[in-house]
Amino acid sequence: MDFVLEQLVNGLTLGSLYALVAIGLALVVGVLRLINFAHGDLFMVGGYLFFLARLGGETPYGVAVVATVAGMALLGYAFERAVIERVLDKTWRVQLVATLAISIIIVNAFIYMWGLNPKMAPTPLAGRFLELGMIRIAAQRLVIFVVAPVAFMAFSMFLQRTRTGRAMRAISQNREACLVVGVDPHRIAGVTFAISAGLAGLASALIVPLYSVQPLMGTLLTFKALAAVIMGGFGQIKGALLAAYVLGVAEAMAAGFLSSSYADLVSFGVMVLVLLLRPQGLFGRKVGI
Amino acid sequence: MSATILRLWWIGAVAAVLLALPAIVRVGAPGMSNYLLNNYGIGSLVWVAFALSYDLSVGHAGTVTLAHPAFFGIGAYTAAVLSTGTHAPFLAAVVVAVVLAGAAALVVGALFFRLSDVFFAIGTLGVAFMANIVAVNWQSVTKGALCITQIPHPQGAADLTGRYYLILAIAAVTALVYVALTRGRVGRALAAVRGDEGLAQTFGANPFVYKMLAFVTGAMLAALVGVFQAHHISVVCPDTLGTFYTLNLLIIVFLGGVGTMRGVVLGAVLFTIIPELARFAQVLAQLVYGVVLLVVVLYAPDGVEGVLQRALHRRRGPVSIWGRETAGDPAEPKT
Amino acid sequence: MRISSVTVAALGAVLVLVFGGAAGPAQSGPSCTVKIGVATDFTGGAALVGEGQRKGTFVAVEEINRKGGAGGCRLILAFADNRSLPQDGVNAVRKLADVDQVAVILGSAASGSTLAAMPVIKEIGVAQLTETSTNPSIFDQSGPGRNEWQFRFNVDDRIMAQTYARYIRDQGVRTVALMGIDNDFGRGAIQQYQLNFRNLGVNVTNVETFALGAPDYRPLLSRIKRDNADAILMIILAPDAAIMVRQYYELGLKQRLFARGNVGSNEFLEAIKDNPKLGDGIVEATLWTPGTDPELDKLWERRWGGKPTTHGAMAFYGVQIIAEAVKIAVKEGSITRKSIRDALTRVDFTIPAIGRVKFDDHHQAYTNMVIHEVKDGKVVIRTKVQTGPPTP
Repeated sequence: MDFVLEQLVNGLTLGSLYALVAIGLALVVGVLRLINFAHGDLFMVGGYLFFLARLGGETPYGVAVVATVAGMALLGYAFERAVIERVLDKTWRVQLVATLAISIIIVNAFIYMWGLNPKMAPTPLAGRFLELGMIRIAAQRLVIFVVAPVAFMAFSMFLQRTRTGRAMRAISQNREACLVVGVDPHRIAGVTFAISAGLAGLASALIVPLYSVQPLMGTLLTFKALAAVIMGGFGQIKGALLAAYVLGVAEAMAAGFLSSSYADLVSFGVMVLVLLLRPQGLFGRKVGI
Repeated sequence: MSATILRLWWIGAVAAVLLALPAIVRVGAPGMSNYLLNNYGIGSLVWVAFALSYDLSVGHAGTVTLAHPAFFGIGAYTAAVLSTGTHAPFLAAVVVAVVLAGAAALVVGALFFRLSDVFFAIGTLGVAFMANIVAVNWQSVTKGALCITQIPHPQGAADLTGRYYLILAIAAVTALVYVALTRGRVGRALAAVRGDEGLAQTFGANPFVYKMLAFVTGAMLAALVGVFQAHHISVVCPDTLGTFYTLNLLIIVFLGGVGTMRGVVLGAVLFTIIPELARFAQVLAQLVYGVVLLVVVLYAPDGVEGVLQRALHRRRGPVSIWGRETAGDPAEPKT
Repeated sequence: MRISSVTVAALGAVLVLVFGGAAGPAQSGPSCTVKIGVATDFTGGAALVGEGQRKGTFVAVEEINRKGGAGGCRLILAFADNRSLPQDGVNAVRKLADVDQVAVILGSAASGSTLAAMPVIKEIGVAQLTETSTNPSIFDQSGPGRNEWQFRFNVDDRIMAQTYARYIRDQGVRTVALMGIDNDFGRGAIQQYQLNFRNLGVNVTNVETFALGAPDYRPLLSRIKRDNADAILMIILAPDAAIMVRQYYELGLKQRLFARGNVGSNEFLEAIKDNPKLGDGIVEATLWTPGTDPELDKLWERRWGGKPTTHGAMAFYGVQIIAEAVKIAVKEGSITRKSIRDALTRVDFTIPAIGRVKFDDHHQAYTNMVIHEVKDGKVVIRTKVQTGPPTP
């Protein structure tokens, strides 16, 4: 039973990572109808930003987190205006190739700048371990377990209460009607992307202390996030969130009870199954984010 | 001179050059002839055949599949296992591989064609990932990451020149099948299905049948190329089923001119030559590659073919609709 | 004291001006040049390896040329990327042979590329020396009567496992959990250690594989914790080991840690420098211990800054071995691809940091296996073992 519990905790840890990355992608997919194959690389860029912000331990963790999130939001906004803008009105096939090309550019630029050797940016919390019953986890993971839901709730409130948030939801529900009443996707595209990037930045600031940063870390993550977005119902935020945790737990259980080689097989297998059997997503049909 | 005769002249000229290529490089660049023949000659032809087989699904049936390398991999591994285990001749491996790939494509198509557009793409991407994982883990058959080695060259085509002519023949077969399926009634039916499935149905062209035709034929041709590759390189590793191939196919077909034979062929040749030339400044080469891809996809979505057609001031054949559909929803999934 | 390259160049220039003029008019440069092709992964999954190897070969060539060349011949390098893919392994080798006209090849890093290149080097007639490929098939397929152009001086796990598995058992280990990378190195090693542990009566409780670069080892480690072996043998590279070991402590595992890879390396120490105790107690069997070659450290620091990586060091020694062969070929009077190949078969010298280099009839050199331990932010050698041919 302990073993199951431990794998559950492992799964929730993985799930938090996937969730933080997936909701940014779900937002962009839902509002902008853009499948951003470079989304995982936002996480990677955020990781390097966090590494820089920490200055080897000089800046306090909280400050570095805020700096990373803010920095990524700004970068995301600028990136949208400069590059993504041109792809928004194209067909999804063009978007597919374009975002893949962007991913190639970003990854190779970072390889050139930083080399392939991973950089570590640990925090004191990453090295302090807590015992909760039979389970041991690093304090940093507790931080993730606490901060992630808070971030999700804040984001949800943003979507419900603010004008921009409501505009985003409206656009994701009925694009044509919005255009008729003058709510233009292009105008909020920048903010949407900024939030997406900011969430990715938060994800890296929370997670990088436990692992490391290297230029190739975003690629596989993009596909996991995509799997979560699909399973959750294309473009639905809450669905993506739940699906991400389901995915994380499924992977951990597969690794725990079958073999670690098959963990990835499980993620893609589950995604394919959901696509085939319940393409509207695991959590029922809902229009918009 | 009529257009048909002009076209025949062109085809004749290209065919002559291709047939004479080994002799040409031997005379023109004697020290480097094997390098040129292998890296450029055979290299391009492999990608020409592979890309044409891919374009059947992507450019003509309109189904963007990301599982194509899996069929290539089936071909390569079948040939590898048969020839190292049972010393089966080349042709036997071809038959078995093609049949297996066709069967796999039937299953994948049957399962996934109900999905629309982008979901089909992502679903097939999932299939490709899973095929990769199987190749790595099914060690009793594929030897996994340790690779199958010492695959013999094809009998009767053991030296480099022989293999060149073999791949030339395979590329020719692929081209012929491509032309057969994309001209005439079948070609028009595919175009109809690609444009509007519902409408095509009302005119008697069952979309499922035609999409499957393109998909399965493409898969079988890809397997054929895979068999060649296994016998040519003599080594098959799981990377054969990796994402590198998917990406390269997309790039070739897209930047060449999706749905057009000349475009795809040009794309394949270009995207063999350019990386080969750039085997020096590695990381930067990749970077430039990505930039070129982005620029082309944004400003010339019809690819090289589109540029060519505009330059030649006339249109031949259907205009690619890739860039021209209305933007918008990747569509709600069909339920 | 760190001397900048500019200062060195300036000093060099002065020396040449002062002494060059004093020598006779015929002294304008070496009378022969030998081009060495380096085929490795500059891009793709194993690109980290290629980076180190490029640096290592540069340092080696510069130093050898500075000392007068190999047998009086100047060495030049040519590079080709094999993108971690087998068919590009073929293309890279052909480029080096036909376009760059190299006399000998150092490569290819990944076993798949090396194996794919082997028929081609035989066809072309150029020797290839590999310094990192671990697939045992390379051993099986090399040598007279097989592929006479392929050479290898890193020992693989089929050769090492017998000795290392016994060493582990002799440390009192009765049950062991195996975990390794999902590639040919990891999988090949796992096979060998499973076999050897079984023969020694050590029970293997787990066999786990993981993808290179995947950051999450917790599920895998949880399994190992549950099955409670005495020890873990991990076949892993430094960056992944740095992450794995943190999670090992996080989960509260107590197994003794043994490794195969480059855990005892400068890269690993760098990655755990925030908490050097993380590495304490890891015992590893590998080919090279950092710090055992002060001259290399000095040269590397001067040229690139920082400390040598394991793959860089192996590439460095690879060039030295080739230089030795060139020296022999020069003495025989001819420098051709064939004469260099023949010279390689006659090479017999010792590189202090890795041991005696002499190729047997599988063109395999049995360099030392070092067993070292990470302790207090340093890597300490426990023992050096002379390796020998694999017993059938």
